[in-house]
Amino acid sequence: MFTMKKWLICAVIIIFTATLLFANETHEKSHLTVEVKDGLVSLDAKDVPLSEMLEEIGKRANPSFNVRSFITNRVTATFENRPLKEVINQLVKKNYAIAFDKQNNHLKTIFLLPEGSGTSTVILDEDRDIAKIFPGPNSDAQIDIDEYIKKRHQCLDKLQIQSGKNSLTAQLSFNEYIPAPEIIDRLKDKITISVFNIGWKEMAGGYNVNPSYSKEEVLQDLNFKHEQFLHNILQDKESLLLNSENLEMRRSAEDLFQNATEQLSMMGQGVMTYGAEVSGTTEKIKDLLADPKIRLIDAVECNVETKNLLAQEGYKQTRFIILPLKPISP
Amino acid sequence: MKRIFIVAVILVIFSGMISKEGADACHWAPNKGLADISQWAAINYFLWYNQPNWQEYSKRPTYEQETRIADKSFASYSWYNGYWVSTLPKNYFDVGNSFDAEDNFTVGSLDAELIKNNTWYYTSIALRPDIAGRSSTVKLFGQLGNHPWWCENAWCSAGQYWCNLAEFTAPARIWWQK
Repeated sequence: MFTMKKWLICAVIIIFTATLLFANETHEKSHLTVEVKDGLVSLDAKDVPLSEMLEEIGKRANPSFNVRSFITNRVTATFENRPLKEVINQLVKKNYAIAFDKQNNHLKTIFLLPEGSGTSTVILDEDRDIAKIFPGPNSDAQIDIDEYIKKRHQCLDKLQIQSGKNSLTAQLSFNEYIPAPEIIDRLKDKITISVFNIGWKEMAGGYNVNPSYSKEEVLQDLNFKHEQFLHNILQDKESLLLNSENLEMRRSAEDLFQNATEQLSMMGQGVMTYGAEVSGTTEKIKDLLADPKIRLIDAVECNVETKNLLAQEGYKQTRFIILPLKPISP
Repeated sequence: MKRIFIVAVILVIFSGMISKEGADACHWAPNKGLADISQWAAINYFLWYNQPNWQEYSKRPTYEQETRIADKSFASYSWYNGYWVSTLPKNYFDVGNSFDAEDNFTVGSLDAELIKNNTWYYTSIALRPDIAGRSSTVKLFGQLGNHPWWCENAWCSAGQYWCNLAEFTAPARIWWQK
């Protein structure tokens, strides 16, 4: 039979053990240890805000970097001597903007953006107080490209609902190469084209459209320049072949002439394009999505989170540079 | 006679050291090319015999073919009906800043490791004369750069090494060899 005194001792022991266990559990619930040595990160974290984790890495990294967070995600993660790039990629995933200093290419700030913001790179040109923003897919993987396209098109839907009459500048990417006259015909009366992304197979380039030119003048000037440069390549054929000392060089020269010849033979259709920078109302730009040959429309307005964040950081001037996605070679 | 011989030997060794140093500084640059520079266009063909080990220089190497024109009244790129094309892999186009001392018309490759041996690469940029009939000193430079892992596009390329490939007075069409 337990006496009262024994009951009391047992109760004290139980309470003491429970307190210890509870205290330990509390400690275990959230913890963070970070070490950065020679660019390698070791980290053990449980249920810690992502921003806090990155701030700790940023403080220890050389050169150090800052974190500006607009999310409250908590994460659990373990890394043992992993490169900084890998750790950041795995932790930050897809909704972020990375700003770096143009002078020395050092990572400066990671902006953690709300879900759906997508990936951007930001170059801080402190000499001129301009932040250049480059939105783009997280990688060349199809899954990332598809997600990027989906998000941008969802954004256009939203913009159209908010105000379809507002004017946008957008970058179009085509599924396949399309002759410039066909693109002008498809887009005329809807939007204004400022740049054509031109090319064929391994050749790629750009043409800036003069806003004061008529459609005919644009095509005439583009055709003239393109044809002239392609003819130049063919004129240089003998000289290049003479200076090609081996078969491999001669073959590569022949490939170049072949490409120029193919493009010249297609000039009846016009110069091949794979994208265009355009401007017009949200409604009109949104309408372009009905065209099955238009693969992606990305607009500055779909990347405003980053712009706003940079404005908060003191960068009042921002410039967006959106590059087209190239189609698979025909 | 003996003294002259010793001096000659020293001079030969010394000049050999100088040329080796020069070659090594440009080890990564293209070996030869054809440049056709006028007030209407900057055209370059160039190739490598043997690819350098790009990784020795940069983990994410970029290559730029620069046409630097000393006289800023020679020619300009027009942003209203400008035209450029290139066969460099993952290519991009860039022009220098208006406040730079010389004009710099550049086409680059974001991934120099995709550049192949014994392959002719082509870049052309349409220009327009600022003052007709001008001539100018032109320097062709190869630039080996890198881009940080967090930025996969052209605008993040930063030059690390430069190699002066050729220098001449334009308008001209010249073959150059490193």
